[in-house]
Amino acid sequence: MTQLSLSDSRDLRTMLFGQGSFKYWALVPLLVVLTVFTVLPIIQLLQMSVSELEFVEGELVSEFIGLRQLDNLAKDPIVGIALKNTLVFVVAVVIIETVAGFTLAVAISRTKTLSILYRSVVIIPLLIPPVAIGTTWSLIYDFNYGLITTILIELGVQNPPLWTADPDLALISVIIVDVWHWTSFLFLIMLAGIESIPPSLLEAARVDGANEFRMIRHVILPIMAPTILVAMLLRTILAFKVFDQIFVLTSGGPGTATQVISMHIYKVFSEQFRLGYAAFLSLLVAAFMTIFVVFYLWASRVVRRRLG
Amino acid sequence: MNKKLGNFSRRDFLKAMGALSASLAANPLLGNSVRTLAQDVMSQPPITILINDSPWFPGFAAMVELYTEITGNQINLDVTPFPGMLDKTRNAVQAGESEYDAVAITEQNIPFFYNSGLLKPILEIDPEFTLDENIISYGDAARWDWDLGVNGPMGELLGVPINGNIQLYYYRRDLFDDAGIEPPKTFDEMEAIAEQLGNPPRMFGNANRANPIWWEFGAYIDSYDAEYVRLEDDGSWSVGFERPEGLEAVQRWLNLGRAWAPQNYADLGQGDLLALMASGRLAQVHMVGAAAPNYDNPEISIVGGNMGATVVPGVTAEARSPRTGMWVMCHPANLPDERAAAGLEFVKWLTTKDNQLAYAKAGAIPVRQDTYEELATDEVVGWWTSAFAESTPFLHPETRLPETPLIRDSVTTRMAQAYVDEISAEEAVSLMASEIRTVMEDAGYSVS
Amino acid sequence: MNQKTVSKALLNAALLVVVFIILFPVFYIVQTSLKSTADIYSGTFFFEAKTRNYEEIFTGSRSNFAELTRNSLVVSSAVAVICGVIGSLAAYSISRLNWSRWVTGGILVWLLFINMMPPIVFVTPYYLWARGAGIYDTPLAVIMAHMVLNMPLAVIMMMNFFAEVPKELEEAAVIDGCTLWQAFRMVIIPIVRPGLAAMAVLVFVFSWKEFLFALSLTTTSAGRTIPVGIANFVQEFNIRYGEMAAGSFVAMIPALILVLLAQRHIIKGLTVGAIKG
Repeated sequence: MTQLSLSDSRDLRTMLFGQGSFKYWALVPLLVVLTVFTVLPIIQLLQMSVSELEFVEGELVSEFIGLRQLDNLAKDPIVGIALKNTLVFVVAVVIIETVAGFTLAVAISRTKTLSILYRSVVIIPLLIPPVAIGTTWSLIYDFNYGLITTILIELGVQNPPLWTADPDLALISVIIVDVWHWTSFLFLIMLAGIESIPPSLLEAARVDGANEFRMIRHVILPIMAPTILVAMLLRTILAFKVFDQIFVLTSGGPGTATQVISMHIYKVFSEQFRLGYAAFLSLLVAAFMTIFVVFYLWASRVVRRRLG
Repeated sequence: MNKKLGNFSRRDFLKAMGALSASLAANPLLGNSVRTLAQDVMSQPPITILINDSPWFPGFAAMVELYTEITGNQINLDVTPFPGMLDKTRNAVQAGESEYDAVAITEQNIPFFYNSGLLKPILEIDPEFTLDENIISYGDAARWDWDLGVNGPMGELLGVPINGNIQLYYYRRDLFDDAGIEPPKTFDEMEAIAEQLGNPPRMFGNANRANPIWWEFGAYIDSYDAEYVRLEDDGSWSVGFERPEGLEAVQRWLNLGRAWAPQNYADLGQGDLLALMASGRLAQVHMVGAAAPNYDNPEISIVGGNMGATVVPGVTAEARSPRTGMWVMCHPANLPDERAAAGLEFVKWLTTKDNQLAYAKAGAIPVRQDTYEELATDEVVGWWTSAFAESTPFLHPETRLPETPLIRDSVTTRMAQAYVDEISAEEAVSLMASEIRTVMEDAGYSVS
Repeated sequence: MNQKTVSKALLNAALLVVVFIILFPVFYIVQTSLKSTADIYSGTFFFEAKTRNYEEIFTGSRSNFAELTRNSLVVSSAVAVICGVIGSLAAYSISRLNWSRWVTGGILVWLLFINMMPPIVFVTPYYLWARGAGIYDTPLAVIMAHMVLNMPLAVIMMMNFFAEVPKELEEAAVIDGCTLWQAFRMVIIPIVRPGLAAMAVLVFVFSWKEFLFALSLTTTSAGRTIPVGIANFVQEFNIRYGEMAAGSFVAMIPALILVLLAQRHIIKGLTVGAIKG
């Protein structure tokens, strides 16, 4: 970042003062929020992660156990499976939803008359609470009274798929629901990005005789690259935390086919009330994610350089 | 009977409750007892109760209304979704002063809350209190033995049962009558019936709950004498899956759960079992007793009037072991005495015999043996209340240790894997055996 | 020209298919909301439509959806506004105003880090705070929690949109005699309005759907929001599909109207701002 060139302005001192003060007070509200609401819980979490906590005679007693949490991790039969499923889920939904969200954003940005219809419809899945989405889709998928099976049987299909009851199809079923639910998230961010592109740029390209595809590839995509990458990053973090929707749809089954890490942490924290181990797992996942994000930011810089 | 139930909905139910309370006041016989009760219950400060929304909740809510009407004491309800109950209770008991004067605790959370010392002992609230002997014990669910760390008959009184839910075996009485079949007492008979009546996809012979495999499976494990863990006479604990019967129980469960079930057997929850039975596509099922009133509700079910219920079958008729899944009402330790007393006053009122009768008719699940026996011949609820009464001598409590959540985690995971052949039954059993042993040893129990 | 019309028609046809796919489960929700449970269990297409589920969610003993909807609208709008203001200010400062890389990097990493935490770890501390501050069981408690949860999204999204604005614009404004605050308000914000609108909508949506804190920080319909009311229909051993569908559908409509109006308002501000600029 370069300094603003202010040297030739008339009232340098006031301006510097004004600039300086704005720089600070613009950040103050955020810092207040973060300090008041996040610092203490995270410190407590760090303490918990090296302890074992238990209620004894009504008091929460904490015992330091240090890195013995690693033993708990080694004994945990679910955490490996859950991480694997989570990774598959995250990679699949982020890629599919990014492609779909971008395509939709480009397409809808070209429409005029029906634009308002498209924009409103696309927001709808986001407004339904995840529990309702989970139960609705479990009704749609249900083998005995569900919509899809009923239709397929009417059409004369002999062995309709079992969807969430088939260990090989369960994760795919969950991914389908997620794509329906969350593509709009990426769509909204990308549409905002496209709408921020100065129309003059697109006009210039059109005058130069670029066809639609070339315009997307050489004008829109490079400008949009940072937005797309940020949207993917936010979606990745969100997908990593997927919980309610799967909890209602499959509860992690059949077998362990749809166990994901956030559901496992919830179980350890709430049902098993192993606060220490849950804190440890939370931090472990966050550390894992941070490494991923750092790598991602580095990689995205490389990509941006290529495209730019 | 069917005709009578024809247009009976929950709305009618609540109407009936209104009529009931009116008739209680009008009926000189009952009216007296109600009036006596009203005199017994002194004016109390308003209280707040944490309760979950459930099929028996309208019955509970109706009783709360009745209590307010009769005594003038105000009760607020925090109606919370079932999965949120544990966290909400835990938060409340950790605060400076609990926001709730009474909390409903489901059986599987009893060990945590009893053992944590977060609840007020009942005798500290009311030194005169005695648990009526007609209230079913449910494996001493009201008492905690601090020395052994389990529920025990000599334990300290920490809660009062308010919902007597257990497992029942349900069947289609019309089909059984047509085929001349008696309800089964053993798993063998259950399998034979499944074979005889099953005609998929129209009618399935049997289906088991897969999501999760724990509570109902407990009735198998206990019947095979292979309880997940058991306190032996010598004071040590044994692990059921280390006995050969453990494997037999698993194999029996897998067979009964898969052989006659719909193809999506691996994804069936309690709601699916209810749906299959209520839509007339299941001949028999072993499931939660509190679901019974649903089958008489024409909004939900088309089999009202054709249902029968009895004790859950076992390996032998003598070894039948339906599990309990009941609720107790407790009072947090971080409450001033007068608030706890106001909460307990309602619980006492709720668990009297007459009020338990009204409770059952309003769709809730009573906790008294005398209530069940009196209701056994009732033409609306008799078909299931008689099964409850009949089940009492066979009841087995949940595995109630503070470590149960860890044991449950192992069992639900391994059984889910075995159910879809991710691992074999033998592998599942040996994994569960070693995992449960580790849990027990790590927690400091002596394991034989 | 003719070719252009054809491709337009094709585009619209394809988009209408997408609309149909998106709306299909929504139609199904509406259909379910008009069915009795017995009809849902039989899986039939043909059924007698009943309004019982709608009566139940507004007048039943269990739920008061009118109050829940009001709370949800209050909470989500407030969170969107708070996150919009705090998030834009902070994002602008961080991304444009020459902070050392350690400061910006530190704040960014902290935001990402708290965003990666499973929300359950914040539940008990926030519960105890809300009780201590005397705001338990009010929309204010839920607003507080949702504000923290959504702040990372707000800041990170806005940083991205600010980064795309050419630097010359605010330099020019400053040369014209604007303070940085004026440049921010009169020049920069109008340019990023589509982004600001998208961010506000997403924050609104996340707050609208949130369940865990809305449940933990409230106890009656004085503070509860729609997802909690909806979750009450997922019961210990059955799901009250009909009422849940009715609740989801009813709750969706005011939110949709509000989001569309807000979006239009914010984006319309864009053209006004651009003309001014």
